[in-house]
Amino acid sequence: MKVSLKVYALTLSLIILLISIIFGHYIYLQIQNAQIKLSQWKQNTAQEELIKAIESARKYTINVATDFAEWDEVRQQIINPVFYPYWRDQRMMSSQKLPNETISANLYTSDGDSLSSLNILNFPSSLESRNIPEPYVINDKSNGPLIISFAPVISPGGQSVIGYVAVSYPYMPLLVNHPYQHLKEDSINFSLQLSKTSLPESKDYIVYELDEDESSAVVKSILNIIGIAVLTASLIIAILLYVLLNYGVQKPLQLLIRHINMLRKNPDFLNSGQFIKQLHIHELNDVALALNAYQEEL
Amino acid sequence: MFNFIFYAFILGVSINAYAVEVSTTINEGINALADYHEGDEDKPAVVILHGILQTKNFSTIKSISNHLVEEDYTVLAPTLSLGIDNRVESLSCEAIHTHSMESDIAEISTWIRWLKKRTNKPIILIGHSAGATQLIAYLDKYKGEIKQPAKVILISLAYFADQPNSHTSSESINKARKSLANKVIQPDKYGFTYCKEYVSTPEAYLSYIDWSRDKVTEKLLELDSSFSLLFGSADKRVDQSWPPELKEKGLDVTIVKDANHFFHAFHEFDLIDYIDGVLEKD
Repeated sequence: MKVSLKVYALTLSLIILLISIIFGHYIYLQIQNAQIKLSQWKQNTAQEELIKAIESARKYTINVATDFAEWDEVRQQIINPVFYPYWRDQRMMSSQKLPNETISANLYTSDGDSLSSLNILNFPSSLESRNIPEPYVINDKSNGPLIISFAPVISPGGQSVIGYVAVSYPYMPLLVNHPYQHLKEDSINFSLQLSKTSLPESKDYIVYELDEDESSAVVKSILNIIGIAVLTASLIIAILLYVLLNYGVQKPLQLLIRHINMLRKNPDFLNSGQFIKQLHIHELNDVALALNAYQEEL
Repeated sequence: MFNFIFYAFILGVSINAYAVEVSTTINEGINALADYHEGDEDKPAVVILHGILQTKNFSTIKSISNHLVEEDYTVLAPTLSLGIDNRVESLSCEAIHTHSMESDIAEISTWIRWLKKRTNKPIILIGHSAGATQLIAYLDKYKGEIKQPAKVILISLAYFADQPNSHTSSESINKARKSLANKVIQPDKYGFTYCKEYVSTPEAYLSYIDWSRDKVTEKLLELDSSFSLLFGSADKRVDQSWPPELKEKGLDVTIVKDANHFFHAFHEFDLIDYIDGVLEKD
């Protein structure tokens, strides 16, 4: 089977184009894979950040409860709770002993019984087994998710536990005000299913979005530009190769063939002055000159 | 060798110049704190009492107690519990005040008995502001039962009713009296000395109010104690006509020119000099 150089040129150009496309696609798949891995890593890192934020919220609310438990008037109320409802209603929250964001607080005896059963809101009426419970989360209708934290009230002299305090603090501001790198803080929200749960488990009820990383967007855009540039360059190279093979090699060869045919048809053609002019390809030009010389010798 | 002796001397002075914190049980579940320093055997014991709602760490009290500890007197500076176990902070006006003049006097008595168990030395009482009034009330209550103190130094002596520049008002007093008559035991907000809103039960509130200018004057003249009274001429919490009036009635009254209720700034030296003078006087 005889195939034209034009076909070879076309084939070669298509092969180059195909290789470029396959290679480009491979690179694209690799980049996509890396992006998936990066996104997964970001997701994991954001989850770790959230866990740290929850731990930080736990520590903060325990500190709030501990500071409150050290207040003289708390000991006064535990020892003599005759006017506790009045104190709780009129004094406790306006004393500036609790941070402004605190929703409420409650006091318990050393047996874990609430000093009052009235209006204790989200607090338990008694603490089980006299142990200080771990902080937990509840979903309050008016205030949203709250952390309930506890601390012992210790007599400064005797170092004995004379009672307990509980404080309720809004969960959301503690999460939102935590410094994040990969988590979009203003996207943090709680799912509607949130009910009483432990602090570590509360992460399952928190929804959030990942922060759009500007550098990764830039890298993505650069990769797109490079992809388009490589594809365009491959296309141009294929076209150029085709043009070069077609016009640079095939055309001079056709000229040479026509010249040889003319020499065969008309032996005086050599003296007719219509001798083949310079060919752009050195070797073909040498072939033409060699043919001319051969014809002359003949 | 010289250095060793020098540092040992400094160390010895430093150790001697500190009081230790002690505590005693006032009621069930309530302990009260005091600074105590056991001094020279030949010097008397001094009890220093702070003013209303303050503690043993109040600046005027601390200056006096630090000085007397340095002078190696036996010093007891209690903090009245005011119903709070191991109270360490001054109590806010807005806290619920269930303590009364009677409960304060009982605590003073507890501390003096505590001191008597540890020393046979003669006891000198020093009170500042309301603490001075409470010492008079204590001496009045136990006048037949206790040995009279060697000396009683009353600094910026205050009274509770009709006190100038105070929030104690006739409206508050009438409100408390009305509540008491109606057997109301719930706390309410009253004007009281420097407190605009002093939260107390009517009975507890009136126990202080009962100590008016006239009653304090009367008790000073009636009691068989050696009182020395020190006032500042710039004390806005005392009617300035009162100290000369007490002097005219034969009491030992000294007035320091321009000193305020707390003998702040350089008047602290006047205060210390005065106390030294009274303590050294035979």
